[in-house]
Amino acid sequence: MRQSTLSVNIHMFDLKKIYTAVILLLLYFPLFALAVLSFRGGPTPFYWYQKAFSQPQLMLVLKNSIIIAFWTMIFSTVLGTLTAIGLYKKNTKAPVWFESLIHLPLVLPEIVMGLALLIWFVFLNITLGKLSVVLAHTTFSVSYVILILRARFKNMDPLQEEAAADLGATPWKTFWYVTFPFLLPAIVSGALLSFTLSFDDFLITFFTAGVGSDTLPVQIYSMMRFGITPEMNAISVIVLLFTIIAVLMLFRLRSEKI
Amino acid sequence: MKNKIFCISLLLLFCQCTKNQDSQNSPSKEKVLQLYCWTNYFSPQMIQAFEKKTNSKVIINYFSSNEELLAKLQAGAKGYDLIVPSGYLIRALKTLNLIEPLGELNWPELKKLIPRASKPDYDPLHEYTIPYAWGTTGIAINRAKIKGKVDSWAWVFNHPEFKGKITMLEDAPAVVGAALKYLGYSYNESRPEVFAKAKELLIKQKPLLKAYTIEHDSFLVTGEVALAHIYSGDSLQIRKKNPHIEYVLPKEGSEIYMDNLAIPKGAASPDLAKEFIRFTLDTKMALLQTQHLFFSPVVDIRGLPGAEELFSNPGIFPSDYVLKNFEMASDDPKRIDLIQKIWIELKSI
Amino acid sequence: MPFGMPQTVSYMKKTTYPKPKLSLDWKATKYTALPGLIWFMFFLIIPLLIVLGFSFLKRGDFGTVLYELDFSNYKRVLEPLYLKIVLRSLWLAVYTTGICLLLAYPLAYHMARTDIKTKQILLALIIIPFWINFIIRIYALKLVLGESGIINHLLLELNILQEPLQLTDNALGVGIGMIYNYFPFMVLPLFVSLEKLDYTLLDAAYDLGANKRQVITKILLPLSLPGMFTGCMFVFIPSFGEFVIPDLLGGSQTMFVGNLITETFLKTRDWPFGSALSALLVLMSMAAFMFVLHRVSAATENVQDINATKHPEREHTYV
Repeated sequence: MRQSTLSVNIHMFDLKKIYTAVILLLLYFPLFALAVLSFRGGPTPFYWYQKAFSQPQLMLVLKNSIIIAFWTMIFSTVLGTLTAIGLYKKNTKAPVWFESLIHLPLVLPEIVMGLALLIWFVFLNITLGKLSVVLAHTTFSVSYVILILRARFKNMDPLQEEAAADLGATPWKTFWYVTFPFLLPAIVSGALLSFTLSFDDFLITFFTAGVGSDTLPVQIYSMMRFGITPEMNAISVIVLLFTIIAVLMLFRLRSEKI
Repeated sequence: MKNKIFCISLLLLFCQCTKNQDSQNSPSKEKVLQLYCWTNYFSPQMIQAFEKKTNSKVIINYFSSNEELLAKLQAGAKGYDLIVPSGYLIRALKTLNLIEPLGELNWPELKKLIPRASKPDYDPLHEYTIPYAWGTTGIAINRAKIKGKVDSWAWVFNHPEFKGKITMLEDAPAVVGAALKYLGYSYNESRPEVFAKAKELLIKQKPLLKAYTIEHDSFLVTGEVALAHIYSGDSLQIRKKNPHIEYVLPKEGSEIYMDNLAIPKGAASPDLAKEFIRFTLDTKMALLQTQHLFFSPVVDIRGLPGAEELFSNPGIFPSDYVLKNFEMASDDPKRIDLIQKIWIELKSI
Repeated sequence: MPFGMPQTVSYMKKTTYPKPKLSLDWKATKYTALPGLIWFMFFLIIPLLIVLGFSFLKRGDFGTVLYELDFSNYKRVLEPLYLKIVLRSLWLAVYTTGICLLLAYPLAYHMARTDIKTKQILLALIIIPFWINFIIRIYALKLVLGESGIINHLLLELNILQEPLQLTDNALGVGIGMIYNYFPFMVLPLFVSLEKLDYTLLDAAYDLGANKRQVITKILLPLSLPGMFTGCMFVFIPSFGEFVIPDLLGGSQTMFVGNLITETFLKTRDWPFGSALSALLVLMSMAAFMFVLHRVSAATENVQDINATKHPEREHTYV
């Protein structure tokens, strides 16, 4: 009699399900608690949310986070796409040193990157501000964009391009009507990822932010060291919500990918 | 595809909205003052009064220690208009060329500075700094949890029954200074052998501690700890949140700190900063600060309405007798280095 | 191309068409990678070289950097005081990686073998905390674990305990925090690797008489080794340089390498020494990365070998 893994699964099924459920519960419990807490303690459930939105400092850092993330997204997507096109056309392999260079920001501890960039900016006499943060964030986001595009290039069928060329398309037309649409899901994924990475980043921003250009995570960290206010709960839950929306958007994109 | 375009355009729209808000705000208030200071340092009333008087906007940035202030300035953070360094930092700031000279100040308010604050060692002619407030470092106790007379550093160093219910400041000079004072030495000791003894004491103390922190809301106010190493202003402010908290000035002595206002190099609005400094010297403003934040004022506020009850508060106006063992921190860089070394060792055990 | 090439019939005149220009054959694309290269050079390599350079200089009195050659920083790094901190961080990284691996593996396995719909849902549920700002995650954890936090609140209300549990501001808090934070980092690479696995191999092993334990240790684990190594790397390297969690959840009582480096740069302002420490941190992270890279490629080769021996006809014998 064949003892297939299937029958084993049925025996272990409940155990695996329970285990998964417990892990997910533990993972989400603090976040759930945070959400519940954000609605309590005030006269109305949305009291802290209203207070948070009327606190100029919190609004300033939220605005900074969004602006910085936006520009990081633009820079790293453009830079990353250009680099990936230059490297991975026709599924060739990039030289080893370039590959290592691309992987370097992913392997380097963030603290070293943040400090190195701080020292470099001081050297260059660049005023620390939103620009320095954008430059820093772009540096590590580009790697992610390139890697996503590389995976996409691997799946590309070069014959499609040849077919288009055979049908008389100029190189520009081929790129625009065949290659670019194919790459677009990856480009958008990369853009979304770099926005999220920048918005979430703490360590590198901590070192490279200047006067008045703190981001939300840096502000929350300072407040955790100085004294927590209930408005923080409200802002945190809002960030939570945005993250969930971003993840769901990403999943819809993936399912739309051919 | 449509969804993606929609989402991206939504994002762009959102950013545009937030950007527009920025430009809408700036024409109404052209002058902005970037303040860099400790938390709870300027009362909202005073800030609002200043904003109204000068038609400007004050933005407050926080640091948690003098070293952090120095590090940020050294790392080239430009754009702060006003900083609040403690006295022992001024020499470093001057040497590193990080602060601007204030120029000729013929302010009559300066004549009202109390003796302790006028002509300090680190800046006798007030070329770079103007004092803002002073205070002491001591112990805050939760009366509900401690019976008996508390008057000595022994209560944080040598009372194992309070294990896990004590916090010390996350401020290396203050902690090491407290150890030195408890052992009977000067706060400004610089002999390495003496420091070794202080280190031993602190290492012995560490298991008794809950945390090193300058934030007291989650420890002292909630009742989690019974004793806290604390700055006088903070301790008296906390009484509003928890009336059981009392401030104790240890009999072995401790530190008197003097916080000053200075203008860092690269300030965007140095004139506005000077106006702010002058504003704080106004006796009415000093009274406001003392009433709300319990800092000891640097100007003479005797005779002003409402000042009477403040004078009876020993936390704000300790008598000279109590202060006989209190010293101001020195700015000897070798001593500061030794302190840092002890701190790292302390944290790494 | 070996197959499918149409044979030119002799009577057809060979017209030479101009070779079609593929879009990616543009001369321009040779240079599109250049801006990226320049960016990496300027914002990555040069700053790192400067840090390396600083590590050989001396500290001035008030925290300035004196341009004098000095190797004492590296000697200082090897002092027992600092070595202890490095070893402690190493231990923290190993502990975090190990526990995360143990906890994540069954979850990743379940995710890999379940149906598409559940797979998507579980994946989304794991990615969400992964993408939520880590400061907010730590903050939420602190709310739950604190002495006046939810767990203690419940335990005291229900009279299960009289004194609150000390779950935070100590080593336990750091331990819990590290695992809570890095758990998703381990699950995702494991899941990716386990999903690609050919599970008919497990069936084959069972058929050949292996029991569950043998199947797991001799087939499943070796095949998932690449994923395990990648996951371990994603957890080990960042947790080695971690400073926020010991700071916020450990009551800043213990110093790890990350805390030490931050403190050295921002409090002691000894940039040369901090640079030497950073160089050491980078070296160790690189070493870990190289090691993992080497093992992953070795392990992947094994997996490929196994797949290569798969006999196409066999698939038909299974119903």
